[in-house]
Amino acid sequence: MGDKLLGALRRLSLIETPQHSPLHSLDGRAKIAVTLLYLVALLSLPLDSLAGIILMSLVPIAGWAVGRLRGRTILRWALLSLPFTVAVGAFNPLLDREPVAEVAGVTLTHGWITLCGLILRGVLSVSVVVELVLSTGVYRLCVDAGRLGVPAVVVALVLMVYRYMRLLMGEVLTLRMAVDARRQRRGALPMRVWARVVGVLLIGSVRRARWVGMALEARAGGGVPRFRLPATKWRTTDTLFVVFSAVVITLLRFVDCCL
Amino acid sequence: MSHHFLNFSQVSYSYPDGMSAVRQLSLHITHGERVALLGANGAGKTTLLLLAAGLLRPTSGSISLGGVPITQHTMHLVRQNVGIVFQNPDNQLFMPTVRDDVAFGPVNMGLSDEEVARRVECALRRVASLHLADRSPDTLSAGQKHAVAIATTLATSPNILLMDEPSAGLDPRARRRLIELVRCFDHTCIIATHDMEMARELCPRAIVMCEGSALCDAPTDAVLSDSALLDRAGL
Ligand SMILES: Nc1ncnc2c1ncn2[C@@H]1O[C@H](COP(=O)(O)OP(=O)(O)O)[C@@H](O)[C@H]1O
Ligand SMILES: [Mg+2]
Repeated sequence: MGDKLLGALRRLSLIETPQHSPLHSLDGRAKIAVTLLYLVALLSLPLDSLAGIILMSLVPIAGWAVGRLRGRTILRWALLSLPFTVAVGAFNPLLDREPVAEVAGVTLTHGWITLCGLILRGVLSVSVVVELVLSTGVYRLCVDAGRLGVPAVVVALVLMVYRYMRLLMGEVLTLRMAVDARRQRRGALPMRVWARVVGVLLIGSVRRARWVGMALEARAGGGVPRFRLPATKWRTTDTLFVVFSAVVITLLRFVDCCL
Repeated sequence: MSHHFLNFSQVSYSYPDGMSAVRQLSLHITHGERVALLGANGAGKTTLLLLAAGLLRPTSGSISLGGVPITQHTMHLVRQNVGIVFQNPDNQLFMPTVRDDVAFGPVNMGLSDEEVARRVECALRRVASLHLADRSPDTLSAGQKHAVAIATTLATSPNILLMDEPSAGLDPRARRRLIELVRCFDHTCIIATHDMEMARELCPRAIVMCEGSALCDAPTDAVLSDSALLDRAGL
């Protein structure tokens, strides 16, 4: 578990450091706007227009390619949406048995098609959001959301929760190492030990959170700390990106009606 | 009005669990002084620095800065004038990259983008860490984190610099650089340390703490040659 966590923490740090791809170098606000537009277009498609939904998958695929993102990460998160969409649509095939088409001797009912549509929409929605986060970083995303009008208090709160999460992960790692360093056997810890370790962990992370709070206070000059990351300016490429994406998404959305 | 002198009058502090960490402490530090804060582990050095930075409020007694008592209303004076470097840099760094972390203070002072960028570069250069600017603080070594933590404070140009065991864990070269850096800092500086050599080199004055009180406040050379005193303070 230690290694997995270390990997996750490394990847989180990596998200937050500037990378070099056309997608990464765009302004966060442009990416937020395009993501929202995409979500509206996708979620407004009827569940049974499978062809349209599949067409819409071109956008996350393009994002993955242009941003040179880790496909595994995107897929893993996207698959997390499965339990939810399946739970919502599980009864569709049973309730809605209206036959729509016949493929290789098997009758496809409307219920099955809407279930597929639901699952696909879930996977695609999560994919674009994950791509947005991966290509922007949580910090910059929050800051840019702030520039788009989200209140500073909300931004500070989300950032602090995120920071706390990372702290907690770091604490788990250190503790895990401390435990391993004094243990002959590697491998899973007995439950009994885990319970105690988690207790220590929570106390430790609360202490750490208090210190970070003080660090914030010492440098924020009182009031709600402003998280502004310097040097992101809106450029022509951002405008072009938004316009181009808007046109493509609109086209993809309405091509479906002609099919 | 100069805000650069610091006055503690009969200050006590107890942590919420009842641990009395600073007891009836009075001291006066004038502008431009460099003071070493010596004392065994648990003597109350860190608590004293947190009090001086306005991050803890005295349970009794009062602290004033340039003659102005520190209260909720005057806290902005403290923030503008006092910079603190924590002992553990992990507690100090919270932004995604080194550059953003160093920029955090200046940004919150409301400076322009150009001025922020200039300060960030200048502060990182002073701790010889400009090449780390785009790294995530999580991925740095302890010594590198330490240097960056110092830069985050320097970037706010404090008039009073508080450092908590700054030379612990530094390699000899980094330690040298720290000493030079503090030597060039011509404002008030209070350094809590176990590094007697550094104290002797940098600080003409030393305050020895023991169980929350000031055992002795004298020229550093005199303090360091008084072995009975050092023994009593557990040093
Ligand atoms: N958060 C805390 N809660 C309770 N007691 C504390 C806390 N931090 C420090 N103390 C206690 O206060 C005393 C002084 O601690 P500190 O100022 O950290 O000493 P020093 O920095 O000289 O080692 C110690 O006895 C310590 O155990
Ligand atoms: Mg200490």
